[in-house]
Amino acid sequence: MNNIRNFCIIAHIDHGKSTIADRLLEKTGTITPREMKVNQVLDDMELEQERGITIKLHAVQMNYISSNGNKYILNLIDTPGHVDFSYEVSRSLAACEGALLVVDASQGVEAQTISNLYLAIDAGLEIIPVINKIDLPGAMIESTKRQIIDLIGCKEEDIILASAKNKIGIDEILEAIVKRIPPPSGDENLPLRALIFDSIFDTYRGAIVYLRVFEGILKEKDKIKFFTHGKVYEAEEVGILEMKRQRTGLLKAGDVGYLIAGIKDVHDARVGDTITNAENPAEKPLPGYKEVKSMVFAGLYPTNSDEFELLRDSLEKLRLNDAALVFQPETSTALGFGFRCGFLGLLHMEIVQERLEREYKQNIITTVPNVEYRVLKKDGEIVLVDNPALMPPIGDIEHIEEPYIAAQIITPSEYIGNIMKLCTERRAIYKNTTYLDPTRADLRYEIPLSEIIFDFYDKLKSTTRGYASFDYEFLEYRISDLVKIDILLNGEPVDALSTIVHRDKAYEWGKKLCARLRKLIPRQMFEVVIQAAIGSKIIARDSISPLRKNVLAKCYGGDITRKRKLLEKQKEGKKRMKQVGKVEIPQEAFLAILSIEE
Amino acid sequence: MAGIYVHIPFCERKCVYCDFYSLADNKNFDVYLSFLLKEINLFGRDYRDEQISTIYLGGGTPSLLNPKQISKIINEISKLFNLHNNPEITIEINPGTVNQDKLKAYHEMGINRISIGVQSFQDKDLKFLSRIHTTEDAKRCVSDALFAGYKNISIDLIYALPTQSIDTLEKTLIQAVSYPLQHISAYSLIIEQGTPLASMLRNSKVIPVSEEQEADMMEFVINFLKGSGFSQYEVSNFAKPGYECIHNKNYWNHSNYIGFGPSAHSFWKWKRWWNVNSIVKYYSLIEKGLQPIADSEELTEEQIINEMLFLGLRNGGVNFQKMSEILTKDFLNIFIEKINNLVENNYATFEKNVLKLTTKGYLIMDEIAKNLAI
Repeated sequence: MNNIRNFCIIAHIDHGKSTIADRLLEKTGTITPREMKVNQVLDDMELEQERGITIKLHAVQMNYISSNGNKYILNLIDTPGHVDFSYEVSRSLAACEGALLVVDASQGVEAQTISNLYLAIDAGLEIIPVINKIDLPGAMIESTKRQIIDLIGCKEEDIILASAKNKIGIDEILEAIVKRIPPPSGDENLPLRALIFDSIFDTYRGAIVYLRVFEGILKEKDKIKFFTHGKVYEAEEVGILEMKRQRTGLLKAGDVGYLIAGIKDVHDARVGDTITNAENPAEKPLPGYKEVKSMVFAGLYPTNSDEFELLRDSLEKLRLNDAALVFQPETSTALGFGFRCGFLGLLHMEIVQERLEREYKQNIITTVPNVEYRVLKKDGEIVLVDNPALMPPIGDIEHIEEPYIAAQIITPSEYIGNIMKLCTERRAIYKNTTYLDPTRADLRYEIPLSEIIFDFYDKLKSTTRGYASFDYEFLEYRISDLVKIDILLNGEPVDALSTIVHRDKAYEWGKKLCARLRKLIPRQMFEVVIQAAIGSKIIARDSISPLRKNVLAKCYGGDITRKRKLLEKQKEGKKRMKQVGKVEIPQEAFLAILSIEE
Repeated sequence: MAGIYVHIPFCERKCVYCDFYSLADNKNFDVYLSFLLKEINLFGRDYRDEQISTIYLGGGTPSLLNPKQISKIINEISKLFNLHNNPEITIEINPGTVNQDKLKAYHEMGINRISIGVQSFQDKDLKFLSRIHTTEDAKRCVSDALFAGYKNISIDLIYALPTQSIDTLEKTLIQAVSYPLQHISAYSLIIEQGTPLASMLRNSKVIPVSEEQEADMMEFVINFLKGSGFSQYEVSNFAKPGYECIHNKNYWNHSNYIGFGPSAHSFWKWKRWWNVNSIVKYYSLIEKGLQPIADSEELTEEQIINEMLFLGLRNGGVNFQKMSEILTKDFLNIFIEKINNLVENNYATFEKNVLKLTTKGYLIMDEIAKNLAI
């Protein structure tokens, strides 16, 4: 066990986590340069590569011979880099004894990095600071060093200067891993306790559980038990994670590896749960398990209402891979049968949406995302509302509570004014400011969650030219003066377009929403009147005049095929529209609020 | 009722809006003719089971060919095929390429219908379209055709031009109906991808007319021509009674036709194919004794239904009873709700199982076709 090192990499998006990981794989011979593709190896999901962020975590084992000739096993546990997945990050950290803190020399420390760093320090990890991209023209090595020293109180000589791109500092990193990070401790004679830090689903094998053994031994054919639900399975296959799974039959205290046990449902292998031996169980699970809680909700509907069952199948398959996805059937008068889905955050929602479309070929309409409201009715009943259309009538409501988050924004001080303006627009309550160094401020706000799930992050980025970074955590429910805006098309309410906003913003939003819809809904064979209403009161109106000409008055000679193909293309376009009453609405219209400022 | 189309892929110059296959820098008409006759000879043989009632010489500019060259084509076709005793034989004429003698000679060899590419009787429009002829050339050409003895004359017009107003469009129409013409095709300008006009649009060198203006102009054309004794038998085709173009109608009601020459399309017994649109490829395939086909398709039932719907809408109406008989399916039942909706909104009439668009309906025909398509 003394020659094992378990570690992870903490870095902000684009600070070079994946490139460093790739260099370590290369240097240790885990992967040959030829196998190295243009894109980083660890991000193997198509979506991840496109977004350049690691969405799902993985782990990989490397063999390393140090400068003094000792052989080591290095387990790199990858961590997701987005605020939506901070719980998964915390579980990955819990599986390690150390962490590389990677900071881009041209960017400095960012909010995401700080919050993950705190998680790592809380988990007692040894931190190895690395400044990456030191050879970039804009590198600010000295001030970045200062920030790191202020943050973790390390010595200047502890900081490794690197450029993963140009293979600078990689040897130093490897040596620091074996020298500074402590080996795992834990008694292999105790009953088994293994922490699940990830699981994926394989169609043939069921759930593949990624775990770290803290105590005891996990062998094939063992009867194993999960603490949260108490179900017992037999370990079919146990092994370590190299570039591929490597069956070893056995994992001991300190090891990182995988387990296959015929688990048909990934929900039986939840991140953070503890596995023990069913015949010789541990008394208590490892600490830190949390039920994941949905923060953002949206309706997902098949564009073609006949495809409801297909969508259900796809969602169920997707859920096998994504334990954080929650959904239940709902109906909308506008959109028919669909599902109300709960997500960790907006990015998580976009990922689910894109995977449904790309991997499962589903044509779906997503409604505007919203938070979950707590409504106290006059009769004393409390209802949870995760769909604006289901908000009780105004007359029945005593008050509405909405979730608030504690937000941390780190920014160069010159943008503080812009950020304050943005936050005020979003009903944020200012808490305090501290300075990381003379030019970088750490701002704390309390903001209604509903105000950040729209384009807050993008706005923050554009108002600070990309320099500010942002992190948040759930705070509490608070009473707010909220109203529901309904949208009517030709007099018929379209429930899927209902939205809940603060009363002070209602008129402006109603007006903007109508104007936006007028742009998004194409002209039809008749006039379309768009109205926004609070209860029975109309607060805004707009209209779309009927289509006058749409015909190709041209001779194509005998080339009928061309004309038919045009028609087929238009028909495909129509498939992506939703018929509400007589009005055809494009999918984008259901997300009109998201682009309301444009 | 089968037809033959012959493509003549030559022009004196390419017009900015045109996306048909044609060459402006090739004058070796006799070489082309030899390959064309070879194609007719080699591959026409398989389609001799049906009588040919129309021949259409299109382009390009077929009138670049002299009467001797044209007569070779017609003779080859008459030799090989079972030709109707009074076929409709049409040639497309560019006013900048003919005189009375040439037109007379075409007429004498049996060509009985001419389609003159007038496009406009306004020089400003013709210049915009980069036509090789002027308004005066166009007027002379129509008179020459009348003097040459043609009893079935059609002219092409284009509207929705950036250079056009309702006023100048009206002047063109007044000039057009001042002649004893039997047929007028009035097309709205379509900016096709890959044409010089499309890049002019991209570079903001041309501002297309608005949807409103286009609709106004189309409505104006329809009403004007109807008021002048023409009936609209297709979105953009108008004829005096009995003078609808038989050849074009064949395209639209799924009659059989064979096309010769590069880029020509053929349809025979629910199968479509089209020739390569490159004269080099065309020559080399024929040289090797191969049919110069680019691609083909066999229509699925869904495609047949959609074609019947949109072609019917464009052209005289969709006959649901006929459609049901051909495809042995009760289409009336399937479409009745949509039909009633169209009739209620005055987009169409429905009589004797035929759904026929009104002028208001014609204006948004593509929208209606899209909504009907299965």
